[in-house]
Amino acid sequence: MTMIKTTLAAILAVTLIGCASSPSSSIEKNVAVTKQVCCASYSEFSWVPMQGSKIDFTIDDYSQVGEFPEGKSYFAAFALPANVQRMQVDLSSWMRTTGVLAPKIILLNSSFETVDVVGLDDFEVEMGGMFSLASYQHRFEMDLATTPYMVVYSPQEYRKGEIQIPHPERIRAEDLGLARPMVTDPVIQHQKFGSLELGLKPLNLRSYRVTETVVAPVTAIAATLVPATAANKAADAKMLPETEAFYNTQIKAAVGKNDMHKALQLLEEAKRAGSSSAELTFVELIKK
Amino acid sequence: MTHKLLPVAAAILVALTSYNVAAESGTDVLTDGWEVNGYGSMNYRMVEGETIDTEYGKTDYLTAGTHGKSTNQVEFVIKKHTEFQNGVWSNFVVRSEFGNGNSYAYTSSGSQKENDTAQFEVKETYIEIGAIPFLGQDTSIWAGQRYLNRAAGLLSGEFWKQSSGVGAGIQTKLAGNTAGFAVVSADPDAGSADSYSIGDCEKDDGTPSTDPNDCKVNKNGAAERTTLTSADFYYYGVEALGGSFDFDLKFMSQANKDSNSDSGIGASITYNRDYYGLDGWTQTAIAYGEGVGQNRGVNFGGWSGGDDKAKSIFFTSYGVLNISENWQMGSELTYFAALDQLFGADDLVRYLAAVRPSYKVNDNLRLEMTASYGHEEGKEGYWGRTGDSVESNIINLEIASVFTVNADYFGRPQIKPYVSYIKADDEASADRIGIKNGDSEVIVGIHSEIWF
Repeated sequence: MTMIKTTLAAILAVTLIGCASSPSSSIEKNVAVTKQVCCASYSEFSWVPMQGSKIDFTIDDYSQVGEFPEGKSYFAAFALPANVQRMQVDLSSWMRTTGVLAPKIILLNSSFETVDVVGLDDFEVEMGGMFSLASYQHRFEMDLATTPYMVVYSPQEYRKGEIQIPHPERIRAEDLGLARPMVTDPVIQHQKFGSLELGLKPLNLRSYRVTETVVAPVTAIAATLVPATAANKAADAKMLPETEAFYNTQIKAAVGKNDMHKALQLLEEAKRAGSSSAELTFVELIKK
Repeated sequence: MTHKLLPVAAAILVALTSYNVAAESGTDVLTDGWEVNGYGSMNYRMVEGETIDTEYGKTDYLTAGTHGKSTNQVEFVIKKHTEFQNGVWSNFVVRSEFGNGNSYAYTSSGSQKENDTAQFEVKETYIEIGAIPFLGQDTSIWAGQRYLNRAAGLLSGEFWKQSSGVGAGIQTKLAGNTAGFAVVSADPDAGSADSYSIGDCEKDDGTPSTDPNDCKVNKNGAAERTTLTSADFYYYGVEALGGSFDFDLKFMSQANKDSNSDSGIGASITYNRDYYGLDGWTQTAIAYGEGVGQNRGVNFGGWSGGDDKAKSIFFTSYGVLNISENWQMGSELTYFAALDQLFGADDLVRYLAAVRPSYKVNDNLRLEMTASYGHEEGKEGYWGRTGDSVESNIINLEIASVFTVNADYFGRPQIKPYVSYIKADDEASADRIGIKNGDSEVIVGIHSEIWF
């Protein structure tokens, strides 16, 4: 007994000494991005195909740095694979004691123009459990025809922020009807780096005919055919007049044969490849 | 041509864009998944070299320290939340618990199976379904076993409001506030063992015997069931006087009881606001109960019961004051008294005043100091108490340091060594709360907890 009391007395003494000499300074967080940007436009990004059911990834010092409307940021970029038409995507950004990447998502079309933006306000804060950390989570859909590309990054304004999540003791107390305990809810700092996860669930698979020439992954098309950003598109990413004419001729022929299915496929293909006149041609033919 | 082609083209366009699309119906599952959470509490308490079974009157509002029971309590909670295409959602909750109330220091020989009544128990298991189209977006229904609308004191830790048992209910919004109705039943004798009696004692030849070995043992089975039922009406979240009010009304009954002890009523008003005008929070409540509802009026469960003489009033106010970034202070004031009889005692009065300042040294260390004064008295002779036993005044002082780690995967563990000093006004009062020698006791212990 004496030993137990002595041990406890020692623990309490250590505690008090600890109080007297406790460091109260916190580590200054650094959210500045000094690394050079990798690319002049979204089209130059390197894309990771969204394959499998889950992709664990980190955004860290080895990640690409891009120039976004809000300034520079580390980012990760993903592209739908060619065999998926529509994909349900769950993005989770894990909250660790070291911090969390407050995510922003931009969805791009095949011309690398921004179609949709998902800000931090659209994310839900999911509490952790026995098998998972607390996280920012958002579910969205991507479509090969309209939004084949997705970029995750964290604008500087987000990186300066922080989030306070309820202490698990408080969550349990609320569940059990206990009084709110005297605990401080942990504050998780937003950081420029973070651990994230993509949960992938294809909703529609994309099929194609053997005669169809364009079956390569979207990324390949993008690398070879698709113009760059919206700003650059008109200037330096125009389709060759010969190609333009080829598509228009083929569309005319298909409509002439009353093969609307083929005509529409050609139209889609032409649009994806950057044609500016194919749609007009098609509409004119239909009007006749 | 134009008129013919347009619909055809449109149809083909639709067909192209939607091929492979699965039919979407209202019952399609949008979100689905299991959540698993848990809690562990290990309280190592020693007095004079031995473990102890008492809680020093904590459950009777006499002390407020950390010296509760449960040497090894573990909880697991499994929840399944599902959301459907048409907006309907459902929850399935199972809350299991092992070892709540254990006071022995168990060893690895598997002795948990002996000398103990607190084993693996299912505390809650119920299903809740909400936003069913014909019931409305804000309406939900539930059924199963649960403790509905619980509330507990901050420092006493005692639950003063709940409806714990098996039942069903409906909850909705009325005038922007939460309104609900539920029926909950509980058997006081649930799980109790069969009773036995000694029969005739006779020798083999039929002559009477005085040898106990010759006596027959008769199994009488479990006692007749005296099921308790409460019909709860509640209306929560009424904004007024700078805070919000919750109203509870419970009509209770008990089966197989005489007409003077088969019914009861309980009602309470709860007021939630900041810390009496300062930064923080408080919950203040007043409750009245009579008959079966004598236990704080709204604290319904297997422990409920009482006759026509049982009438009580209950008042409590507790909360946390945020003093500065590092200082917080919790406080509780509770008064629980008979208006006639309470728990069979005439004029029983209990009250507790307690404070707990807490200083956060850093993210890993917090200091907690607790001071409480508890009082109990009744009419001379209540529960056979006379002389010094009639009135008890208990002072409890405690100091504790809380070591914690901001571990992010397996929850947040903390280890809390504490020293608690309890002083009674006399030896009779000390004996009433489990102090064996003299009128005071020093309890040293280490309470470790983890939430995950």
